[in-house]
Amino acid sequence: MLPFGFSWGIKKKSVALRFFGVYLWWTFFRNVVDIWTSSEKSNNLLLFNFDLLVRFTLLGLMFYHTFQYPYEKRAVLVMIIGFAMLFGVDFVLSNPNLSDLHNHRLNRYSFVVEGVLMLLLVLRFFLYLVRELPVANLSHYPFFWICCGLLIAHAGTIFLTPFLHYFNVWNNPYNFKTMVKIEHWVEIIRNAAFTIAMFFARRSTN
Amino acid sequence: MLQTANDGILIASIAMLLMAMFIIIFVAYYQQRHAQHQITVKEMQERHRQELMAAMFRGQEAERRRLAQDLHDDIGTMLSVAKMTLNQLERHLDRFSPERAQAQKTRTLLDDTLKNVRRISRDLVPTTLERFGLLAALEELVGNANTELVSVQLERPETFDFSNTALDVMLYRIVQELVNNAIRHAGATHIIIRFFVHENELRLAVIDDGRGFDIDEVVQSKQRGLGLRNIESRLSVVNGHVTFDVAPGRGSRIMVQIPLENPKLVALLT
Repeated sequence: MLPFGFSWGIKKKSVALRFFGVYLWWTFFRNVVDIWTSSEKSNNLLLFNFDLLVRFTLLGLMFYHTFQYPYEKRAVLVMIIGFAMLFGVDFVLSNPNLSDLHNHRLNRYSFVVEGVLMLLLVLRFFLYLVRELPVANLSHYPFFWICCGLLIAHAGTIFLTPFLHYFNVWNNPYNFKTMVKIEHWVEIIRNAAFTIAMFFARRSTN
Repeated sequence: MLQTANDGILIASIAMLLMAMFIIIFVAYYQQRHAQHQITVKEMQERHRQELMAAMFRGQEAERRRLAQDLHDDIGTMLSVAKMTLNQLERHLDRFSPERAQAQKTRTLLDDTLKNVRRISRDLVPTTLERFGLLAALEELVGNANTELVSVQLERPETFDFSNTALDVMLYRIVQELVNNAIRHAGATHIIIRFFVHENELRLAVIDDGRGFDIDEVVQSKQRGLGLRNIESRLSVVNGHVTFDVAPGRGSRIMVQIPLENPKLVALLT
């Protein structure tokens, strides 16, 4: 429901919020394709990997349009380009035989790097909020809630994802019940924060 | 070994989550506290500004009173003495002599000057306002403004219970400014002054059929907008505000609203 809700009055929203809307639509598309491919019992890890690059780019562009200073914007662009390069290298190194989709592996290092970069961006934004007080009422500021969701999601999974992705392979699945539960819980909290952001963004232009 | 790693990751993840929660709570709390502090500072600044404005208007009124007193006591008295002296001199002159005609002309000039001095003195400090209150002063203002060319009408309540000398002076000055503007600048021929109290709020409307004006242009102009800015400044002291329903080529409707529930602000003027 989130992408549909967020699209309401998208023309009046700021560029940063529009990028966030695109991110939600992309996630929605990925999830739909995931469900469909799973039901067809076909491998969707390639899409899952590609999602990492797309989501970091979209969220990075969202921060690019949120940050005020040119040096911050430049840093975000460097992060996006650097991450895209790392992603490419990691993708190839993780999968020596790219045509073998059955034994295709999730990116091993990109997930962790993405998590760390995202945490840095969120913390930088919080520092900006605390130092410059750009809004009078923080609880009504959609970007605050978006960043809360991102912080919780990435902080909660920063140690989980490498484990899940290193050990959990097609031919040798491990049972990480508690870890998967934590991942699901932080995703629920993240989506709840995004829903609050959506509520306050319905008339917001910043 | 896997179980140990599992537990370690679990503890680290929970620690990270707690840290994230702490950061969010800290940001929200700090921002809230800072925002509250800023509101308090703004309120203090506004209060200080109101006090300064009130002091300025008090000073202005005191200066007007001093000027009016000087005009009445010094210049007025001297002119009256000059007129009496001229009258005595006139009696010694031949009835049809050119000197007597000259003296009569001088006496007429002195009469006109005395009238003007009294008018200026009255405008500076409306004695009717001090003696009989706002409603009587407004009646007098309307009476003086009414001419063959201009008709001014006052719609007012029978009594005005919220009377306060400082507030009365403020309202009188505002009406005086608006009526003067309507006559001098808008060329109005019919002016209505509506004055009433509604739900603990004092409302004043000055409506005219003049040629109107462009409010943005007037406000931007340093000279022309002085009177209107003065009205806004006076009103800001008592948290009042003015609304201009005006456009070039049609009459104007200027409305003033003053809340009466905060006597502290009105007392600032006193």
